[in-house]
Amino acid sequence: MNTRTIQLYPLWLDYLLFALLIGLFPVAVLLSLYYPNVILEQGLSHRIFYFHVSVAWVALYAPAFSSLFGILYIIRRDPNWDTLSYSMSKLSLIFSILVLFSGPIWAYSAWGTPWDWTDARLQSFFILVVSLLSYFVFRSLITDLNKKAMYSSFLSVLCALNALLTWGAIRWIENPGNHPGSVLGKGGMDKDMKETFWINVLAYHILFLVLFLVIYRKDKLDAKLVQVREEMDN
Amino acid sequence: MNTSILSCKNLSYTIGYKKIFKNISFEIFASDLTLLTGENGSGKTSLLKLILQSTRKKEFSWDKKLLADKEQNLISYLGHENGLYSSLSLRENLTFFNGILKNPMPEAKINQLLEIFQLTKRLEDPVSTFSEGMKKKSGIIRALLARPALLLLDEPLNGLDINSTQAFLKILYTDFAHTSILLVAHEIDKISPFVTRRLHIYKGELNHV
Amino acid sequence: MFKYLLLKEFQLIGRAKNGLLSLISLLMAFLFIFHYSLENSGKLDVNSIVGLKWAGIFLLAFILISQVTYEERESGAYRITRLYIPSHLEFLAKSFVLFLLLFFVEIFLLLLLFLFFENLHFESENLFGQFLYFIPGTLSLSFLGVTLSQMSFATRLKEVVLPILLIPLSIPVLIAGMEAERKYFSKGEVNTSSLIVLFAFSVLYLSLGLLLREVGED
Repeated sequence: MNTRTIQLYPLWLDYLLFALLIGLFPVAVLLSLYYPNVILEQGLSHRIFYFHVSVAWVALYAPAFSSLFGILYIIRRDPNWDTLSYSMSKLSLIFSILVLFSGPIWAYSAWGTPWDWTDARLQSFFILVVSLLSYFVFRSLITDLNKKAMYSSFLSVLCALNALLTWGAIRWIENPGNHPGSVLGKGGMDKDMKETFWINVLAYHILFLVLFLVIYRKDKLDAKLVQVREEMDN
Repeated sequence: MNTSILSCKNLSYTIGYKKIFKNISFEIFASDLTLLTGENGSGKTSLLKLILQSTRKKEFSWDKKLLADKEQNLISYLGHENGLYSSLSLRENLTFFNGILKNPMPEAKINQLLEIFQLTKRLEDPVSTFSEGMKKKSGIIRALLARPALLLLDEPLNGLDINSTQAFLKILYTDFAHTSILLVAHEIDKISPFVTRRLHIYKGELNHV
Repeated sequence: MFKYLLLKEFQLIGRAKNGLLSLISLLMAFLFIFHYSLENSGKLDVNSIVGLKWAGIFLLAFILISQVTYEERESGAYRITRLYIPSHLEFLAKSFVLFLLLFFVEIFLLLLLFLFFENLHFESENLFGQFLYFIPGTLSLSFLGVTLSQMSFATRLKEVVLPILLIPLSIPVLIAGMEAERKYFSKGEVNTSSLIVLFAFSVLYLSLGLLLREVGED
């Protein structure tokens, strides 16, 4: 019987990342719930800041990675780059939707309304989510695999552009709305908030890496399965 | 022996993961009328469409003199679709497609073709108002405008009446006697007197018959 | 060769089912509905009118792009055209004709806006401001629309998929244009950074369109 083995990943990396995730993630969540003081006017709901900002960071640079992989596909024409880009786009969408959920929860306690249409950052994140959704809808409608990969790469570049505009929304637009400015600005946070914030950033980045590995492996296996099926048919 | 105008070496074509062709090779010779046959779904139309991109694919190589000739159109194509803009009139279509060619066909010759296919009276009508047969004949005229080095015809006799079929075959055999033609057709009895070479696609392989 | 290409594009758009007159009728109906429903209850401010203008242009651009895409795809004429015309020429011709048509319809749209909405005054500064940012914005929409129309060929739904792509990808252009005009009308001075952003979008979509034409062939 012919057998083929495919090694997709080094095992030690898996163990390391999972260990980090299991160790750090609960610590980060518990820290954000109990450790730093809250901003008095907002009360306990302010703690969602540690979740919201962390996932927003990932949601903003994941499209950039997706577009980079897309560009590499255009140059190298290796389907693996397209799979990488596709997996990264899935993560972008997941994290962007998490931002859209957590933002209104925070906004309701801070502004008294879950959604402010005059806020540039909210609008631009909404546009990012819509453009990511259109990426997946469009991709599902193309039957030819080569064209699917090619056009998805272009769309991923345009989604990355939307992500860039979302990042710049509070910096470039006059009267961007009520959205708080960048947390990296001068005189930002108290020490306890800062520590909790960075631990959460690290934890969500590790979550992002783990999810990416899981999603990419699944997509790659799906692609291999289709290939093997076609080869058997032929 | 006629000279080779186009050669193809080790062409493979895959749609998704499904292999349509596996390392096929063939040559097209000057003034030949080559008949391409095969079962439905064997890849005849795909092969013609690949030849359309032959100047951009490394598996194909054209005769260098033809490539260098600034007055010679390399390829013309008539597929299952007639390749015309249906909302434009026949005149507008022919004006456009003739105007973008190297060495456009003289108007007198175009009028002659229109007469042969009995389309002169419909010149100003939008192509969308034509019957299927008339659309086919219009598409044929559009394909012949280029007077190319290689004429690709995919089932050109579909929808043509007997007179138009005879007229078209006569044009191919007389006015386009020096044009290489690669023709896909199922009406082998009508074509066979004119065929000089035959290729057959079967299970992804191309055989010279 | 280019003149025949341009002539064909003009003929296609002019001969399209909607045609120029239908587009103008659609525009009048669209603006009249807003005039009747909103202007009567409270005069729309300039920012809202500017938003209406960009919405109208987007709608027109979408209709024209859909129509042109359908015409190219319907009988395989695009494949034949590409045999003899280089991809970049074809892209530029289509984008140019689309832009020109949108430009002329925009003039008519502005006249209608002056007619229907009281807060938009027919003054030279207004006109200058209206066109200053509209031109690069429409250029961006033209390039983007023609690029996406080629992509839609590859999908099962063809032109129906265009709004799915066009809406999220053109919103940044629309927002940049509206923001630029809002600043102009509130401060009365030309904001060069906004102009640069809009022209940057045009250059980006032009580059992407040309690149896609080259690498996205059959």
